[in-house]
Amino acid sequence: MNTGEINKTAVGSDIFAEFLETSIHLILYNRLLYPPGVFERRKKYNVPVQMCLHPDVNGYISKVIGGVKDMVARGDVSMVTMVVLDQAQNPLERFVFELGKPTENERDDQYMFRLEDALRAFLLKLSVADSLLKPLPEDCSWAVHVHTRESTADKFIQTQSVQDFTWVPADEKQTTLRNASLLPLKTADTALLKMQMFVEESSLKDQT
Amino acid sequence: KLDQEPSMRYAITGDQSVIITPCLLPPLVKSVQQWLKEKTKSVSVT
Repeated sequence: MNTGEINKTAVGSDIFAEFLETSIHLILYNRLLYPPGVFERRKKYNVPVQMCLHPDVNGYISKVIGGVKDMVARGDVSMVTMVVLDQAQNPLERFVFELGKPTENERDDQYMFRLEDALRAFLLKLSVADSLLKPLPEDCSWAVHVHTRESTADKFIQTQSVQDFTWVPADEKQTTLRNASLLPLKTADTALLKMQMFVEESSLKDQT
Repeated sequence: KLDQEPSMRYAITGDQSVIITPCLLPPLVKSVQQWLKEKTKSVSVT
């Protein structure tokens, strides 16, 4: 990667990390993974969003986002997913943020207006996705999965092991959705970020 | 040798895709509910 590409990747990873953090808070609120009382209404990209106030939840999300940002900046992350799990750790829903290589025409969006519009649309789509999904059973938990290459994961895990927040390969049980139906949400291709967002819903939810 | 030169390992085995996740789990719903209960109680007392 040349210097320009490195800068572009770094800025892109910063923007994606900020967007992912907001999305995680919004999903936690919309899918009732935590009680609505622990959320506060705020504004992001000129859209009302709900942000969690619980210090441990916020601390956890920040550490996850720090890791994701680091890996995305290395340029080898294909997907980041937020998985909703039942009590037996079976995945019921998966919110997928699929990343691609951004297009080259930087001048088209010099002031990032298109990018901001796209992020706003992503958040709005994420808010309405809730009404299209079946309700979740009680006491669900959640996890963030990063889809990357072995070389990137190994390097990242080595740097993280010295800190108190280690990453490990995910269990296959958590990564496989049975008879999933797909709900496409939005795609955007801007100079700094190319992203596709969709939700997968497992048929297992009907049985719970 | 392969441990010292990871790039050689990927050259031999291929750089496979992998899914990683934080080792630590997020806070439990019950602990968050408890925190909210205590917070609401302290607000209503003051």
